[in-house]
Amino acid sequence: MKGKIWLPIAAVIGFVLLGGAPAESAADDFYKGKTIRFVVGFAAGGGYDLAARVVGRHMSKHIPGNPTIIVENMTGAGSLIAANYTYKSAKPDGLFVGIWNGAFVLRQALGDKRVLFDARKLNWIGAPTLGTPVCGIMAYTGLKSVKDIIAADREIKMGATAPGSTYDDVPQILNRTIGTKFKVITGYEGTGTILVAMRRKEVEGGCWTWESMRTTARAMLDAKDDDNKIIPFLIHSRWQDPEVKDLPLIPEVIKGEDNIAAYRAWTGPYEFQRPFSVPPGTPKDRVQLLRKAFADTMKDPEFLAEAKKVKFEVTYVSGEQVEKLVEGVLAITPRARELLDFLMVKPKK
Amino acid sequence: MAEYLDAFYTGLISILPFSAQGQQAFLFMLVGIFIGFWVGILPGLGGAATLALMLPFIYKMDPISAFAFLLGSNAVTATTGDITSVLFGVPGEGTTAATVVDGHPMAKKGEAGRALGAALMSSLVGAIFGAFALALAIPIMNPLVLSIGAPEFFMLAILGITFVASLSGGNLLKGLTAGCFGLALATIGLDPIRAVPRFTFENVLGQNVSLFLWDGVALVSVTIGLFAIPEIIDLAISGTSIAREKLGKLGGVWEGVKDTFRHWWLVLKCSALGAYIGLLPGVGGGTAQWVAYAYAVQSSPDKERFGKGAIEGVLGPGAANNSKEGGSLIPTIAFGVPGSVSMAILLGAFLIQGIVPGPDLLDPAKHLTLTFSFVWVIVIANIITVAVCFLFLNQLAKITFVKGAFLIPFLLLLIYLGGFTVKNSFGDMILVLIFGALGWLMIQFDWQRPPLLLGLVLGTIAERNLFISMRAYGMEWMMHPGVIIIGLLILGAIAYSLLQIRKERARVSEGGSETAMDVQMTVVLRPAYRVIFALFWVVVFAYILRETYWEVRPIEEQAALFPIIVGIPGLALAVLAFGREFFVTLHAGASRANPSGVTPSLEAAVIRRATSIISWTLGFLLAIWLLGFNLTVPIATFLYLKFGSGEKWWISGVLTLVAWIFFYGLFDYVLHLPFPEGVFFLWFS
Repeated sequence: MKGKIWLPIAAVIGFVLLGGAPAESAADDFYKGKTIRFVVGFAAGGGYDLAARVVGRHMSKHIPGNPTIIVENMTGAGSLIAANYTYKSAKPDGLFVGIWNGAFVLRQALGDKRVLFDARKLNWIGAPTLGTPVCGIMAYTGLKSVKDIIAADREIKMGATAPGSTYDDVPQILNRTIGTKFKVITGYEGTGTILVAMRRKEVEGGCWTWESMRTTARAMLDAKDDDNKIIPFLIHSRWQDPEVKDLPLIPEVIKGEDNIAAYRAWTGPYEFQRPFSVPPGTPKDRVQLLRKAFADTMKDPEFLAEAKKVKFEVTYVSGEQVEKLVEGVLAITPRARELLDFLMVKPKK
Repeated sequence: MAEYLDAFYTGLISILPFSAQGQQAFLFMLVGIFIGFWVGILPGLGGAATLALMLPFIYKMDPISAFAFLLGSNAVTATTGDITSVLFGVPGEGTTAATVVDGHPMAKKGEAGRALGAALMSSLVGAIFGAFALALAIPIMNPLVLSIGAPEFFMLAILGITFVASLSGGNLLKGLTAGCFGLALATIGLDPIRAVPRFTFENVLGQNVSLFLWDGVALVSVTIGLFAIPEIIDLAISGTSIAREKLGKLGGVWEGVKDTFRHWWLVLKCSALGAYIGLLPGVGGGTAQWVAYAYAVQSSPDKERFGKGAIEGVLGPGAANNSKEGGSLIPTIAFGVPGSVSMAILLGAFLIQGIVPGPDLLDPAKHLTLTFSFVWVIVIANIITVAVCFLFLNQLAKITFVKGAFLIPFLLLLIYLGGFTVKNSFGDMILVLIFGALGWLMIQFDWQRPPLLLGLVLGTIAERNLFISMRAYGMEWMMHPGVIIIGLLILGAIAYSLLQIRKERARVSEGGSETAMDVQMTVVLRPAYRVIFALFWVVVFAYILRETYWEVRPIEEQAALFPIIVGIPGLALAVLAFGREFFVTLHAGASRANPSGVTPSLEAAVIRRATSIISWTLGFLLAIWLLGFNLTVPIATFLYLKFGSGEKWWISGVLTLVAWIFFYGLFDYVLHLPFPEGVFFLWFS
């Protein structure tokens, strides 16, 4: 008797299960009713988190099936934990997108054994922005240009957060390539504390990105008095903002082929900031779908309007371009690698 | 001046429901308060993470409503966080952990109402103080923030560290040793100079653990472990409710309110301390409470009572963790320098609203009204919250009379959630467990825990700023006027401490100090273990020095400097502490063996219960690892209630359902926390 009751129920359940999940032949149907996880390697509230959340809010409508997108934070080791996780542990099903610091690609090129991924094998979806290294100096130093700075016969103190940051790397690279005498003072909590240290003359300048400087140091860029004014003096590539549009470019100032090659390798990751990637082995059609959705999002007026509101500078870099840039970074010449070797933490001789 | 007063007044009006715009702002503030209320109460929800989730909602709001919404939420988390800290011994927020130290023992003595009344009232006073400190600081913000450079910062951290002596609970050697350990703990992870990994156990535990430790150990995991786990164990052993005694009227909320005014000076001084620490950029939200706690102990003539339910230990941190909110807005507004993670998110909100932090916010012609509205939001949000809380406080305090066994599964869930959400990783749950074990052992053998935490919160600040000072100024920094002034203060503080300790000794030897109720049951009675535990500290410091000398120093000498400065005195103190325990045990073994009058049969029962709860605690984590949170919560809750505690079927069932709905509904369904799948399922897929 029992069988009689259970049979129709089983039939209904079977129908729902099979009918509810149609054959997943095309990626087009795959995303319907699914959830994509955007896993960010940094804590909530930072630039990476912001990028993931703003993109995440708009990308779903460009993916057939309109999956739900949720943003998670997997913090640790400057996002290296998330990077390694994307490569090694995440399921390659097209439902996991990692967002972490692309500078780890350079670390891979330099042979850092803690980088457990091979950037060539990751599937790059694209990047929403660039990073443009820029250096600024306080007006009270009396120095106004890169020439003054090279000519000055004293050490100039530059504030920095942690090793491996733009703050820390750029002055050291400049010391080695154009003969500046920067003394890098590391240990500051973040951009804000460095800006205060500049004003109280503990440090005299700093190098970070123009995308950040133009908003975080806005009050100091606009300041009229020498005590509070910061003067940008060197930038990586051309921007049209009045404060920087006539500045000399770093790659033009650096002389010598090897020096330039080293610098190019170092800036490689700045050409694709906050890149989105999916694990190796993700089905090709899903990768294509995500790439297209990402491209469409970058053109979406609603997305652009929101990005503008949060002062997020959008420059779309396609997945294919990121792939090429990654190749470029990994093709570092032995000489350039030697020049950049000081970036690695190793026992001193 | 007139325009300042005008902006001050307009700021208030703009958030009160007297105009259309004010109504909107008021409404959003209420929503914010509601969110902040729950964020504060629940240990798994952090204030900063919630703010990040709230941020997108402000796109369409006018600036005043937007900040009423965000600040309203942020301003009350520390207030309601105190409630959880007092009632359960689990810090509701990372910033309310210090309230646990004396607030929870009060709850155990049946004085939960009084502790809550005091915590809330002092929070309110602190919030108002901080808000008005912000208002007064507006004209002098620039010089105020610019007066503190790395050298002064370093000296302030050292001044804070000298408070460790007072926190030692009459046992200076052990207190200082624990303080050194806290400082050493702060050096775990990449050093700030050349990013050399220190004490990350790469050779022992492999790369994954090492990477996890790169960022250091999180304050939240350490505090949850040190304080919450021992309380859970104690609750299970005693087999009673959280409150061990019923006190009549004395336990009332009103008494706590009166306490706030009885200790008026202390509350004001701790508020000032909190506001000042808040305005120091880069100090982080967790520091103010511990320094305030230390100060409360320092300034009390009777230090023996602390840690056992001294009301001053609740009032100090209660005031400071709220006043720091107003303080930390100062650098955010004046320089765009966020004083904490929450402030960093508020900074993002400024950008969204198209406001440049800095002079514009201080200019009466531009956004000064908005700036003053912040002051009022902090004040009014706290008044509303505290008023609402007072309506329920007596009911809330009754939770401490609920049978302990009913609460234990919920508490276990909360501590592991609290650990997990630090970095959404498994690692912090293990840290909770490790520090839980350490905390429990420290109680068993009379080692004070607050010095350890003070060391942890101040260690990083001290090291970073010492290094910056040396790099930026050479040795010249020691000659800065600010450094000399703080240096004299430090000498004064040390002299004062020594004097106090002397007095205390004299008083104790006269037999003047009445012994307060023991807050934790002692399980391990054999004196031999005391000696072994003291030896453990010797080993720890020996390891720290060995590791620093052989592993860190060859890579970067400067990265080794601070661990050595801390490690050498740490080792010396630990050796002395060990020697003393050894000596005392040898001579007075028999008379000390049985301090709490426990009979052998009772001792057996106690040990059995202790073993049982420790196994359940470990099993809970193991189950999370194997089956994931979603299955573990109902299964472990049910098993514990039915078989661990022997409840009736229906009670176990109902409570399990409540636990599961609470967990699933809030953390999974609403908040989408990225809970890892159980490895058990990974094996089979």
